[in-house]
This record gives sequence, structure tokens and C-alpha cells, in this order.
Amino acid sequence: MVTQEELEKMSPEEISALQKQNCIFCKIISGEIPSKKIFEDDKVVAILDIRPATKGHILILPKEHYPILPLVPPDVFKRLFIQTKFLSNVLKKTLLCSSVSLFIANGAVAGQQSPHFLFHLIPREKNDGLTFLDLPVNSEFVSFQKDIASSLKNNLEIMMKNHVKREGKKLIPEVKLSEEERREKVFAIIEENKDARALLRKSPVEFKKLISENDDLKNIFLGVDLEKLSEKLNELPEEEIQKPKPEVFLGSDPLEQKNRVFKYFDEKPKAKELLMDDVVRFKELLSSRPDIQEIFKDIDIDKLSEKLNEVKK
Amino acid sequence: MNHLFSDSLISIDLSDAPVSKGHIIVSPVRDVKNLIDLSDDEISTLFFGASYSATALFELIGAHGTNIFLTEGNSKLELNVVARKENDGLNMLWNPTELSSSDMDGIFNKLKDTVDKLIWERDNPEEAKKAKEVISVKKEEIVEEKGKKNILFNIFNRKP
Repeated sequence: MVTQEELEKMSPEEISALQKQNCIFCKIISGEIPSKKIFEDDKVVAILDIRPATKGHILILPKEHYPILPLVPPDVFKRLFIQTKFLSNVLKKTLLCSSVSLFIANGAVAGQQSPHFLFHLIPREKNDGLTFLDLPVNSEFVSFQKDIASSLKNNLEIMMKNHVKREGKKLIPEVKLSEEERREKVFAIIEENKDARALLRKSPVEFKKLISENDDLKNIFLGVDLEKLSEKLNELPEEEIQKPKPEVFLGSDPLEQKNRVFKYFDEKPKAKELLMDDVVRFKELLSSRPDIQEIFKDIDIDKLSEKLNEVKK
Repeated sequence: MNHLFSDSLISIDLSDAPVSKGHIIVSPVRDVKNLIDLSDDEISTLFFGASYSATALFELIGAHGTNIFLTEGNSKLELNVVARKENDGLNMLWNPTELSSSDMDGIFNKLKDTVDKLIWERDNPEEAKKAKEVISVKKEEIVEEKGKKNILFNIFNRKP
């Protein structure tokens, strides 16, 4: 037993070692204390909570002892949350629950009771009576939120930039893609690129590796189930996947042309209106502006106007 | 909402409906409603964003602790990061459900079976696909069999 006096003289490292030595969850992980372990890999363990909020409530924790989330090293951190996805699926498939809640407490004030970092994954049902996350909103805090916004913004930008750098990646700005736009882009890439198509047919895993090397492609294929896409693709004979006949965008890279034109229309909505309302005047405008001519090079202007009006209808 | 940060995967904003002084929302850019639908990159970046937000609240406003939580639902996933201070009046405790040891054993066995099944399916995709096909054929046969029985049943029960 360590006295208060001895504790005060200890370095943070010594205190951490002492906590680890006495940690009940380290003993659960090593098997010294019995538990209901439903899952484990080399870094992560999930056990049933003995004081569950609902049936099937589990605790997810790293195998190594870390007292709080910010001290969990990146490789363990990633594994913890990737396995959380898997475990949420396990809860839903087994208990047929409609959703799950995830709850983390950092620090004693926030309700952290264990010196070993862990978090809760709780199966939920509509009207299950669990209200601990239905917190009262206090509108008086809104002005405080506004006061701290700019300092938070600066700090978070620096932290996220450093994080991306540590990961050996580049910060990619947010690109708003609707699901329809994403699908359209994915299909265009598959239709136009024979090699990519062949690789996706043969091995979705290899295809994933290929797109992970390119930030733009990674963003376009975000959330796309490559296994399923490969399966569907293999149901179609190669000759049936024909490149659609170009109608409007007649250049060598129709996708790039389309993006270029719609970016211009986003910046100049009046030009888009003019093209839709009066093609002749739009062509007159083009003839007097070489900079715009470059944007609309190899594009069937009449067809584009027609298509835009069709979409509007 | 006061916007704080965004990249191709996540967006970080200050909550419009704060429950404490220092309430941040971290959400995926894509319209995703369930954890399982996030990519590995998205889910780890989402929680890194939440962890950095918690650290920023600790450093900037002197939070004594933070809670990070979400509940899946009908709308887009939102991860709440809430700054905590002593006696802030927030209560995030639940009353534990009383379960008998046989109930606990039952849930444990069911969960363990699902874990083993999903891991086997992930590690043996070809065999899992074949097994699913066999099950689907069996199901069709059962439905067909039931249909035949119904025809016989209808003939015998035909009223004059």
C-alpha cells in the first residue's frame, strides 16, 4: 500500500506504472479476473458490462493500459474505432436493435470511473427509457460558444493539419458530392477506364489499394462497396459496357469538361441563365470573350442548353 | 452553426443547441446514419477530430473533463463533444438494468456466436458466398413445398 506522502513524491511515470499495476481492467484482459469477453484481437478487447444500461451493453478497451483517450497511440486508436464499427454490427445483428449509442467519459468529472481508458457501446430501441444522453439545451451558452469560436478554430486547424502530416497524408479540402454525383463519377471512371475496370473485376482488394494512392479517387470512391460493385460488374459481359456516345461534351476528357463548365456556372449563374434562355445571345457572348471560349471548347452549346432546360423541367 | 474545421471526410462545428459552455459537433461530410456505413478512414478521422476537440476545450476553456457521445438515428451521424466542469449540473449516468446470470450467459453466447460467424465470413468470403447461396436455394425449396401443400390442402377443403 502506498502512502499519500509517497504518492506525492512520485513522478507521473511512476504513478502511471502504479495505476497499471492495480488496474482491474488490465487484470480482466490478462484473464486474472474473469469476464465475458465477446471479442479480442491483438490490440482491442470487448467485454459485456456487468452493470448494463440495456441488454447487450459492451465495453470496448485497448489491451494496453492508457488512462485517457489522448494518450492512446494512433495505431491502437484507429483499431479501436474500426472494431467499433464491426461490434455495432454484431449488436444489431444479434439483438435486432434499431441503433446503438456510444459514450466516452474523459476525466472523473465527466464520469470516468476506471483508470484504464474504455468506452461504452449500448444497444438502443425506440422508447427504451434511456435518457442519460437527452441533455437540456441552455440557450444562454450560445454567446459563450461564439466568443470561443475563433480560438477553437485556430487550434483545431493546427491540430488537424499536424495530424494529417503525421499520417503522411495531405489535407484534402471538403468536396460536397451528392450521392448521385458520386455514383455518376464512379460509373464514368469505370466506363472510360478499361484497365481500372479489369482490375476491379479481378480483385476489389487490389483496386482499393490503387485508389488509396490517389486522393481524388479515394474521395470519389468513399463509401462505395467495392466488393459488391465488382460482383455486379462480373455479371455483365465486357462488350455490354460500352462507352456512351458523347452528345454534349465532345472533348477527349468529357468528365473534366463537365466539371469545368459547371464550376464556371457556379461562379456565374447569370451566364447559365443566358444559355438556357437565349442560345444565340450566349454564342454572341462567347465570340467576344476568348477566356470563356476556352471553357466551352469542344462542347455542343445547343445540346447543352437543351439538356439544362430538360433538367430544369 | 459556427464552423471550425472541415476536410474531405469530416466537419467540426460549434453546436447551435449547447448543453454546456463548450459543445462541439463532429460529423462526417457524407450523409451517413450508421457507424457501419463509415469507411475505416472516416471513422478514425471522426474520432481523431473529437479527441482533438476535447483537447482544445481542455486547453482553451479549462474544461475539467469531456464527454464524447453519439446515438444513431434517422438523421446524419453527429458526434457530440461536451466540456465538463465540477458541479455543472449535467448528469450522464444511467440506472443499471438488473440481469440474472443466466440472462448474461444467454446474451454472451449469442454475441460470441455472431462475432465468430462474421469473422469467419470475412476471412472466407468464397465459402460464405456459397453457404448463402445454399441457404437461399433451401429457402426457395421450402416456399415451393409449402405452396404444393397449400394446393392439396385447398383441393381437400374445397367446398361444394
